[in-house]
Amino acid sequence: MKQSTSTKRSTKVVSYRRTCKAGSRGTGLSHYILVDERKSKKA
Amino acid sequence: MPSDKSRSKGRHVNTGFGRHFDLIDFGSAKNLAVIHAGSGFWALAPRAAAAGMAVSGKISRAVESKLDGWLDEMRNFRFGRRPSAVYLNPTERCNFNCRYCYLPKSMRKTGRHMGEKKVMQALKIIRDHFRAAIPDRTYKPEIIFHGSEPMLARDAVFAGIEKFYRDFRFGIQTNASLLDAEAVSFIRKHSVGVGISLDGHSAAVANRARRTWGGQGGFAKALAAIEMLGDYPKFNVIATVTQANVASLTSIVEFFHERGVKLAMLNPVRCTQQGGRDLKPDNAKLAAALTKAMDRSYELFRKTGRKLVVSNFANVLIGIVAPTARKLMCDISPCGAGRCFFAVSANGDVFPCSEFLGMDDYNCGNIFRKPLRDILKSAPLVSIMERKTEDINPCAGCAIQHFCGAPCPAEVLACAGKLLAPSPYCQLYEEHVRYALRVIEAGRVDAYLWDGWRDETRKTFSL
Repeated sequence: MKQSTSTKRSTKVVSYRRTCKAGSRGTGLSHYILVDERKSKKA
Repeated sequence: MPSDKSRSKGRHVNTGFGRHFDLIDFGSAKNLAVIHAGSGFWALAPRAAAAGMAVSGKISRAVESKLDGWLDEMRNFRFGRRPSAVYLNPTERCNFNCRYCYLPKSMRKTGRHMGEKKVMQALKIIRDHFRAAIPDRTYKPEIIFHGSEPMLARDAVFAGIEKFYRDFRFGIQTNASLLDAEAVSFIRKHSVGVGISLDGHSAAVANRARRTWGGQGGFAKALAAIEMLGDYPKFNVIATVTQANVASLTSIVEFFHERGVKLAMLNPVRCTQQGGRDLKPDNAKLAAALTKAMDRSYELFRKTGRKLVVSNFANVLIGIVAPTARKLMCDISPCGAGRCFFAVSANGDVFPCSEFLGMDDYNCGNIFRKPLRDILKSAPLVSIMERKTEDINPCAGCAIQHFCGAPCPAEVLACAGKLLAPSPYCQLYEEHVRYALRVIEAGRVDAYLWDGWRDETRKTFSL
């Protein structure tokens, strides 16, 4: 099988960042899971 | 002392006032992760080129103008919050005697009930406090009836929900032993969140650490509750992971998935009490078991199209891709205790978090005798709100300190005798973050996060 002689190195970088649209509302601690916040806010 | 003028302008990465980037091996054959710890910035770059890209190349140049903004975002997120949730214990008692409970045994066995009148009074005090403290009138603060076992005070809890449901979002965390059809109907009607505690996929596993005082296991009742609540969107299951079930995590994931559970937590036991310390799983075994369980949850999603979100892992993952969109506030420093939520005991004493109940040094004052605004400035509460990774060794030099947070202060205090010490689960977080980075590399983030997470967030950067 012919081996590749290419010396070209991949330079692809993966990086991204997102931010919470509504401003952070996280209130949960590990004793309870905050569920379905968006629906509750609309109620 | 050098003046500001003589200081380095921060032109060079990793020296003087320059930006500091860490490189970590996250178990990928292709990439290393480049991380700027303070801002939570990360990039996955080819192994051979990552170091160069970090110190003088593509990555450092691309983010130089962004880093100050991200540092501000993290600062606001970590220090600019006010409480908007309360963990309210309507009773000290529990009908279970779980071996690992973080609450003192005497309190659970012979403790007091708050009583309906006092529950109403507490809710009114909390509502009035939040009305003054939270300007956004469209936002409903959250009350979680917690325990011990809140359903032992069912009449008081339901009366409180009935009266205050316009003011709060309510939740109940329960062992499910007292949940009957009538209670489930009430919960559905009032849109109350409900979390069921269940530690196994079989009675043999689930009942190892969770039994009544008389020795009866809770599996059957919890299973019945899951069947009643399976289609209810505000329902979740918490499994506490101990030596008793760590080998069964993959089976537990399969079991939850098969029964239609959409949101669960595989929550390593807190070591706050001796019972928890006795049952703490070995970190390496725990990390391996959780990794396998997370792999299985992914396979099940691919196979069925139905997702079981494992919330504690999902929170680490969202903490990397969208730091301010976290839901759980244990694994960020300062943790949520006092700054996002606080706990009220059955006699009205306020603690930074439920985990501190029974620790007299962290009693911040009584809600019936002292204004909440003063209680929330009390010294014990502030000491928790000021606990941060930058002051902890080795966390201060750790690349993933803001993906982990060195939780939890109560547990750390119990284990190390001081607040400024790392988490007893430090190694687990190291593996969690590495797994999360592999998930990101594979483009599988959506498979592990809750539906709608993209709608809740917006992209602010990509490379």
